[in-house]
Amino acid sequence: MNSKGSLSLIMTKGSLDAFYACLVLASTAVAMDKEVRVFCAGNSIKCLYKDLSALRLNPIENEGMVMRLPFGPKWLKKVDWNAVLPRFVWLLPGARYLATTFFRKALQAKNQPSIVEMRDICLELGVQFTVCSMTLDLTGQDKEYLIDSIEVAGAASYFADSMPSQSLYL
Amino acid sequence: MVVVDAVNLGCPMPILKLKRALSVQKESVQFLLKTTDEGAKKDVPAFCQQQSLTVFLKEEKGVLAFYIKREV
Repeated sequence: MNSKGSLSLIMTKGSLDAFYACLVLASTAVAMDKEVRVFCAGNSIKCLYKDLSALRLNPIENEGMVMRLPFGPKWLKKVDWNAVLPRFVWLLPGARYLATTFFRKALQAKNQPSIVEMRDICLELGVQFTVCSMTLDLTGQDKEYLIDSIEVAGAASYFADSMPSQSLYL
Repeated sequence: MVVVDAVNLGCPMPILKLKRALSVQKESVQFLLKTTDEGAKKDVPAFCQQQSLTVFLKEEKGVLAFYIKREV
């Protein structure tokens, strides 16, 4: 561990908003000279795909998600659609795609980097991404779909490396 | 003085752009970070303290101007 400390982030969900939050924390911590590791287990394996277009928002899973239109008149942009619409709406075909599109548009409107750009920034700054070996086995995922600069490790080696770290579970 | 323009960029971009400038411009001592991110009022001084940089904030027409000096 370096003198500025280290941080490990454990991802288990493959949702766009969770991974974006993870990347914001990881990039900031690595910019502050911390050693940063992101351990992807379970369904978060899609966060390490070369192509991130499969990542979606899941308003059903996250009731607290604020869902606002990134365009339109002011009064319409103030509406939190996740609060006013019945929950079943998010199960309708295309609803998650729409929610994801709005999230991506909101990032664009605020001049924020896209999810791909944020991950590239993290890689460039030296964030180490690790994929859980058991997840790889379980999903039968071919490594050629994953980004190149990742480690494959089990939970034991993860804990051995990250024992003195501050850990966050996302 | 190296000017880092992070106007209209949200967290964490002002910090990341400043970090990049500090890494690339190794010989430079003085930096000016311009941002409109309200969170930067706390984030930039915290970053500078952790990186042993001195910082002075001046607000100019809604733009936060952080004057940052690297100790040599």
